[in-house]
Amino acid sequence: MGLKVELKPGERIIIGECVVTNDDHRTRLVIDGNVPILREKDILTAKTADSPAKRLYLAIQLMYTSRDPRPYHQTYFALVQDLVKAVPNFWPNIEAINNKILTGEMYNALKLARRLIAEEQELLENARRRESLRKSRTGER
Amino acid sequence: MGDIVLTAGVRSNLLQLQNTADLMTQTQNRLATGKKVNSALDNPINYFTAQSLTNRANSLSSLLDSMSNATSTIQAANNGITSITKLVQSAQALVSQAQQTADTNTRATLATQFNALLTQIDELAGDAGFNGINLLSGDNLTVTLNENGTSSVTVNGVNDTVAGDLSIGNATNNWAAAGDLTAASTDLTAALTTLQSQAQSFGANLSTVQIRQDFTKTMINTLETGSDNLTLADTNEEGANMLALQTRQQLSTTALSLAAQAAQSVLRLFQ
Repeated sequence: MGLKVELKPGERIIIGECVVTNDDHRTRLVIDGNVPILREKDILTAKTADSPAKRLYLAIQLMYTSRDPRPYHQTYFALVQDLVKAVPNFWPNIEAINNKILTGEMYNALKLARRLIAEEQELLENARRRESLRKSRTGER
Repeated sequence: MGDIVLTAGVRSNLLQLQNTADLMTQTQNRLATGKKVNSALDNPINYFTAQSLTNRANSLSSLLDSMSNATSTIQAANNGITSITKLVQSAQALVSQAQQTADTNTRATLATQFNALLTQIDELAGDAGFNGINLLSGDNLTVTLNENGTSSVTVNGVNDTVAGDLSIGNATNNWAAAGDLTAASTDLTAALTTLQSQAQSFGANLSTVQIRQDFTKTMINTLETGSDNLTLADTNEEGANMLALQTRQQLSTTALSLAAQAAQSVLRLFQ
């Protein structure tokens, strides 16, 4: 039983090492076999990966879509180091991601990384709000 | 003497003083140990997470030993296959030599040499083990990849003896008839194909284990620094740190190499 994917008109999807672009009709695909599959909404590129957690996601995505993940490990761990130095509380999450990568469940690793991006978003918003509060307070004096 | 009655104001001042004293001991403690969280009471969640990270690093280290043993076992099997392949090729040479002569005496001598080679193949297959596991004589190798054993790779052993997977028959009839030689030749070709596919599957297994091994090594290092950092964690600082990292990372070499790697991957088709 393969994986069922429904594509909107013009939607793109990575299957193995190629990009499949849907034409102007809705399409339903059933994909069998063991290759990386990634839908357009789950794909980050070097341009769209513009935050530390998103970069981590991109690194995992590169491992997932390539035959030899080894070249990406170094980049991945450099990003992990950066991230846990800044936000040690991300550790439990990153730990879980590490474990998925170690056991070869790359798709699940990506899912967990998405959760990390959400947490990062929250943290960044809080930090920005606090910063603007501080600015407005010093402005009053 | 009556009890001294403390007003609410004095009482709260006293409490504050006590708190300050507590804070001071805490600070001194942190300065002495270099960690903000020294016991489970300071920050229970971080303390226990940090501890589990350290434990994890330790249990992964022991997994790493078993992984490197596994690598050696597969490598030993691989070397065994290479040597056996050479012996099979020598046997092939003997057969073609026999095919070129009609002299029964020469053929008989070659047939004896052929049988001797087959014995050597069996001996080689028996000696291809490492650490008590011989993949070429039917042992299976299981490599555990995480500490609770839920993920593992099993390398299925083969039986590379003449009577086993290779199924090469002994020289019959002293190779007097042409048919005897054809039979031997067919056996050898089939054996070579078997060996090749075995080598391929061992090679694939070897690279899987090696990739995991490399990953685990780096992961242990990160875990160790991670647990130290976590005990230093201060949630108020984290937001600010994150903003700083966000800015700093934009021009970092890591981000640049990540972008370059993305440009070389399937993502380049995704512009």
